[in-house]
Amino acid sequence: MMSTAAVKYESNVNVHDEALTLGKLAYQLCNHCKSTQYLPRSHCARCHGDRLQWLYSSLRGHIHSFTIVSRAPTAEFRSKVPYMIALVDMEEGFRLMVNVLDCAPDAVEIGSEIRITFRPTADGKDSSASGAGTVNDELLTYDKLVPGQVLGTGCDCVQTELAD
Amino acid sequence: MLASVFCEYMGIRPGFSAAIQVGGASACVMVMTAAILVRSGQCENVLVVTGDNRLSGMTRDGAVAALSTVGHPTMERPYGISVPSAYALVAQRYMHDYGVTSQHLSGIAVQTREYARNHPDAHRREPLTIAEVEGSRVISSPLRLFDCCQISDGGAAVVVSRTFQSTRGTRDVSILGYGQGHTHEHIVAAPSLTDYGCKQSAAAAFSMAGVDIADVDIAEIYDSFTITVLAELESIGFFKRGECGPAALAGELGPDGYLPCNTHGGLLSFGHSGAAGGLFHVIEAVRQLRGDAGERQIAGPKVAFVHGDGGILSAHCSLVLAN
Repeated sequence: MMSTAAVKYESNVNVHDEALTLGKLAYQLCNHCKSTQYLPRSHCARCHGDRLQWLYSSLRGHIHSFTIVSRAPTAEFRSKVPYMIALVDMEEGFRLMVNVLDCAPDAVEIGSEIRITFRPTADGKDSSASGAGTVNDELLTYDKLVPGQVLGTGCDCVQTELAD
Repeated sequence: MLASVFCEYMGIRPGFSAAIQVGGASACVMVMTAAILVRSGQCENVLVVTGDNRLSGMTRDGAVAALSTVGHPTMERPYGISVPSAYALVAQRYMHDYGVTSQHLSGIAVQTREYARNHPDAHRREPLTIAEVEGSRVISSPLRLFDCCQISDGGAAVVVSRTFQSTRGTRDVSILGYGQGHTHEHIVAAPSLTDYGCKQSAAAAFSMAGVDIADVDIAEIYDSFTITVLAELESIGFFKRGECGPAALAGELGPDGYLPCNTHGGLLSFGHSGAAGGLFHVIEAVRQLRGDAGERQIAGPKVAFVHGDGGILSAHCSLVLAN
């Protein structure tokens, strides 16, 4: 039987958001079926078990797919084109979306190994506008951090000075 | 729009009234729901009606921005996701896994335009070549402008009845089967970028209809992007993996091909106006099965497959129609 004494169960989205402000990527491990998920939930999306554990990611993964956006959806992103969006499969088994920054587009391909880094957004409130209800006022006094990304292997670029 | 707003405007007082919201699968789900309502005896006749003035009411920029809100508010939108970008992520992976080329996708855009050129109501009827598609500006790599559907104004409606009553000498078209498949909403949560709920929805529809995939004479597939058609035709099983693109270039989706597809010109060329975009596929299938498709009439189709998908290959609904 599994020991539960040392396992802390939480289902608060703030765990994820607070981790970002610390430069960490938090994900949930299901202690029933052992699957992992990145979108915070009160339960496991695979087996619907409710014994979830928060863990920090190794920040290592590989590119599952990517695209270079030339036609931005909104004025906010129009000044940033062309920019790259990638889906990244983390070694812990969950997938997330990131921007691939400071890197020659040709250096990116499906399967490229990557390491997640973080950069503050220019306006934390702006980028989290739709999710503001899940972030308490105290957190909003920090810079809201969004997972950015620098390639590990396959790219010899370096991360530029963090903006802001 | 609430269904009651439409009923008030029309001055009708139906016994059942509901708006159905399943993104691009809405039209097929509406027809499926109508079929269930008449089969159950709840309704005698069901009006399925859709319409949107996406182009004149929202502007092209407005429509692109509004559609991008389907992205997850904290997991996708902060990274500048749009609907074309989400489908581009699918296209990139699908092309990588199965050797699909941009020329293959262009072949679908050109074939679809050829059909639209024979439709008097199509949004885009001017000729289109492979070179023009491949030379068009990149929207979100690997998708280019002509890989993307139109933004149009339009409306569409069908009536689903328990017993067919011809008022204008039209022929009966039956709904033989229907099915749905749902796996996710946001692309970041998709279990696969190469297999989708269309596999399940199509299998359910074929099983209910008692027809085999080989019995299908024409296919009307929700073509939000060229990759959508190619990936769904292969995921459902109309073509083996990697074979739809070469088939499109060889004319196999054309009027004399193996599987005439999107014979009205699809969302890519006939037009896309919200839920009506999906209903255009249903209407085209009905017209083809009745022999009412004019210059673009396919020779003697008996079974039509219609498919709608909402979100980013998220919500799927398939219909099997026959004359």
